[in-house]
Amino acid sequence: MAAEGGRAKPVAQSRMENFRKVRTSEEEMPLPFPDLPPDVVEMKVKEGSKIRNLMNFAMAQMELQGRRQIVFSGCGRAVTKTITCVEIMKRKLGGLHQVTKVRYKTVLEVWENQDPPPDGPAQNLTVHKNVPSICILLSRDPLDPNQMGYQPPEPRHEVGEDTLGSSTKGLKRPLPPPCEELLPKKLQVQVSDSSRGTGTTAGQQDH
Amino acid sequence: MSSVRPAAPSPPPGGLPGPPPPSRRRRHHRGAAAPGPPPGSPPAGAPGSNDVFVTSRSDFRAQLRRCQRLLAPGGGPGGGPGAPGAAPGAPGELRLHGLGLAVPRTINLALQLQAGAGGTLRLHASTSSVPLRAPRARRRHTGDTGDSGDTGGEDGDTPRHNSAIHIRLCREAPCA
Repeated sequence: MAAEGGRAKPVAQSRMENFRKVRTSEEEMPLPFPDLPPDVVEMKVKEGSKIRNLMNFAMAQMELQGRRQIVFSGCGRAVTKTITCVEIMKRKLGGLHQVTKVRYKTVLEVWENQDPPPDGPAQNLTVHKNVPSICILLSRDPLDPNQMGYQPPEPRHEVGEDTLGSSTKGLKRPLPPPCEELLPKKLQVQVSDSSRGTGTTAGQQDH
Repeated sequence: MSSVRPAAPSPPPGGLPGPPPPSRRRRHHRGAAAPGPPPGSPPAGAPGSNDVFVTSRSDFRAQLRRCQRLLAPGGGPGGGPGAPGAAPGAPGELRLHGLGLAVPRTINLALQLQAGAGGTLRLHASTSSVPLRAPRARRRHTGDTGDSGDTGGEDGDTPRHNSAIHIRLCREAPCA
């Protein structure tokens, strides 16, 4: 029941039509910034997050609570929204040092077979996906300018030309076409019946 | 005196429309990462610079191959090692630019290049917001509210922006 990308795609599609995605979970990964205070605020931006809500909380943390640093992170289709939040915050506050890190984040998807064989147990398909993610650290304090991904503060004259309220309108966008990019993917079949063992097949998508 | 000259494309005498010139037929080429510059497209980089503007419509494998070719020793923006104007500047350095929906694809492209290079590539990512200049008349006509930007107001005077990422890929030593 391996569904490998590339050449095996037609076969995988014909077998995948009876499956339905029932659960998605992200693998917890530590932040890629060393020497961060333990109580740093991490804004985990999701695809459906409202920029208004995110910015209200983040701005309150930076202005009212007096935080010196804040981290924005997002993966997949939320990457653009993450950058949007960071750009709004930089424009509103000004003088923020930035470090940007990109990496892959492992997302675990569980697909359930809607049409299991009558004599066999229900099969669950576990898919490990590597989706691109971004982590951005904003800091009022100067950061190491020699580290990769460092951006100095922008000149002050560009700050404050926009308002927060005007930036929260209508950020919903249509879904992109079916993804055919080279996302490394592992497929693993987990048979729930213990008597039959766990049939595992892992496949790495060809590059 | 009659000289033999190479056959030049000339309109048929009957006035029938001939095939379009090659340049017109190539205008909508989809295989490359940076198709022809339509209005509003990112500015062309300096001659000889390894700038790649990633789009969400072009083929990902083609983009990956093109970037790998540009990163290879001797592979410059002009093509192969012997191509004119190839790799005048820093060899082995590439700058990827992604705008809006192409941002995740740009990151994916950079990470794929890094994985394919065996850890010898360093990524220097930076973000910015690009002011949009979408014609209001077209937006009104198509019903597009222009909501792809990160900022914007209800009045037309407020500039709208779109998020962008710029990833510089260097070999070994960190980029300046």
